[in-house]
Amino acid sequence: MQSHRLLLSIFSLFCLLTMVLGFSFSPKPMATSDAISSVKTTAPAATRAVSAPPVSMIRITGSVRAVGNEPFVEIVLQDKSGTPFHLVGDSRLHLTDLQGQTITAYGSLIKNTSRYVRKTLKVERYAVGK
Amino acid sequence: MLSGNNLSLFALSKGTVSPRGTYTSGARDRLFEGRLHRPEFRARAEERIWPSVRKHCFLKSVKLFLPFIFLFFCFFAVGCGQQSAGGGGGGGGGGGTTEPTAPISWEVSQVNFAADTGSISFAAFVTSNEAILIFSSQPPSVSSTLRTFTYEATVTTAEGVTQRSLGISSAAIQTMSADLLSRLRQKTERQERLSEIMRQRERENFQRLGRPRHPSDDLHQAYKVSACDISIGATQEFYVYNFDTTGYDTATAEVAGIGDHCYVYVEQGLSISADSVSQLINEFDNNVYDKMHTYFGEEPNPGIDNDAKITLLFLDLGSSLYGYFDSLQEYSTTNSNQREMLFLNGTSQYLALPVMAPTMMHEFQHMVNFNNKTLIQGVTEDTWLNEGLSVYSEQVAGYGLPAADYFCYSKVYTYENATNTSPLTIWGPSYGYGSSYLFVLYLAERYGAAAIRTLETNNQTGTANVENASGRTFAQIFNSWIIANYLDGLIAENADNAGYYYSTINLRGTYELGGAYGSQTLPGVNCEAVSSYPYSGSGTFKSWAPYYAALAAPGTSTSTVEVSITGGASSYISAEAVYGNVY
Repeated sequence: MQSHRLLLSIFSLFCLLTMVLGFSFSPKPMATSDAISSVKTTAPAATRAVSAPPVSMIRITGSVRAVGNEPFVEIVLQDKSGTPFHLVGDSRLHLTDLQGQTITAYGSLIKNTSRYVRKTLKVERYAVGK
Repeated sequence: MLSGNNLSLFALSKGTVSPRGTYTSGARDRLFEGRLHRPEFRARAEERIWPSVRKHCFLKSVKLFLPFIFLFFCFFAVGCGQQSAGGGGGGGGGGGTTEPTAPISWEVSQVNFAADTGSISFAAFVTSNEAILIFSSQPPSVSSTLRTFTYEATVTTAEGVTQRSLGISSAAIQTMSADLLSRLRQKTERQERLSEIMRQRERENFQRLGRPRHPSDDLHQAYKVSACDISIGATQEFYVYNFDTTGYDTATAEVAGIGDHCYVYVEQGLSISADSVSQLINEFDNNVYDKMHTYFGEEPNPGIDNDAKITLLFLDLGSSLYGYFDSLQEYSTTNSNQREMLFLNGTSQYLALPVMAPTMMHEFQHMVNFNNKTLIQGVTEDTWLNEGLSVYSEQVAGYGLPAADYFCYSKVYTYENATNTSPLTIWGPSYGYGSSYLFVLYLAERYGAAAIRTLETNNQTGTANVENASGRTFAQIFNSWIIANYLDGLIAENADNAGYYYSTINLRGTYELGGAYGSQTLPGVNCEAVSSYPYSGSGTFKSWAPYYAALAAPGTSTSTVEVSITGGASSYISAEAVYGNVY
């Protein structure tokens, strides 16, 4: 009987420790607002009111990388949640030159053309920096 | 959102409601409830039944506790890891001495400038000495912008000349640097923890849903290669990427040979002799395939085609393309051949074994990397590191620069001539092959084959991948690497100089490239020569792209040379100095 009480005590201690350490060491869960703010619809209210479906422009902030192998290198924007977006757009945007930088890109999601990631963003414009 | 907190609570509730709780306190009474009043039964229970129940209880308890013990150690390990990461990073934040230890006859010092100015001085500068200054910009947010910096070198002889005042002490700069780096590190750690959670979720999705699906997967019915006729002479139509239209054409190819690990297809109209086909199969089966599996990893096997063999399609790719790996072939989508396959240039100038064998290895590495990173881990490797691994793999197969391969030679030559405009972590096909290859080779020589295997197979990418595989910060490795790029070919290759040279290549060596190229010598990294003082100069560099300057002795007498450096705003200049007796 004593041994079982001891085991129960150890069990309780472990539960308590696990819970305390869990709270102490686990990373903070991402706030819901953060997740939403990373992909934000910026279409103005007036546009949404008209009957024709609006072209939804989204805004994504993150860092730019070149991924994959030659000759199929893709420029990818990785937002702060870790979701990568394949960037495509006019060559005058010089997307390749953005590697390593943090940018905010404005554009629309189109049918995925990437070999490596699941989403493709057609960039209309961007701003360097957060 | 899955988090550690939720996990803990879930584990707790699972434990308390489990039927296994029957065996906790009071179990004995409950088990024999209603029958314990009978003495004979109680005696029998005490002697025969209770020991087995006790044993059963003990085992059940152990099983019950195991998940909690595991969780406890997990959290404990995470705590320890965080503490050690923080402690280690703090030590490296203030610059100071680089690793590894200084080589004989050379002193290596390094100053990191989070601010825009700083200085380095060389005392007791005598005629036999030389100082190599290596400037680089190492900002947290990498940029391909060309930055300008200026530096001035002044001399103080033994007789004494007024020294320049910088207006800001080196100690103050180091304090500012440490503080800034500490804050940056904390931010990076938070981001990495979040990224790790996201990667974990991606992995769970992969395990649950299987291989990633292209959006148009459903449009195309998957087929099995094994259902095709793969006998010598049989023909097959393939989708082939058209680089002009960026669409896909079709090409018909014929089975020219079958190896243990490959099928060789040759495009109709292209002539490749049976001997050549046999040579290529032998090279792929007995060298390329084995080396790839030993040092890098495995391709999708049996893969999308449910066939363990790799398809090698030789076709006319023109005069400038050796071959390529197209990862679209790994999806069941339109324009995909749905095979593990490499597209190789079968024209005569690329078909010779010393050219084609490293090409096969190079492209095969891309396939293996795609499998390990994208299909298994759910991430995609940065191009600069992926291409570096591929060029390095050529060397592993016995080719590359040590075998005087022209491709490697030309890429290293290009890099040596323009180190300051060739940022390591920003991919550019014109310069990137050389820098990435040298960096991966340096990693392989410093940290061994296991590090390369880790680079290839873990769930990290880019600079984080390098840090994970080596156990060093990226900046530490980069700073040692750029010194090695200067010193290789100048210093003795011994244990004292370890980390400052390449043992398998010579960056100032002569290579017999053969054919029209003849014998060529690598010039060593481009270096500005400074020999008259006071000197005032300027240079340009991109992020993670070093600028070299060599300072000669100022005169016959013993002197002190002080160099002050001023960079543009937020240049994050790092200046290293290699100083000592000349070779």
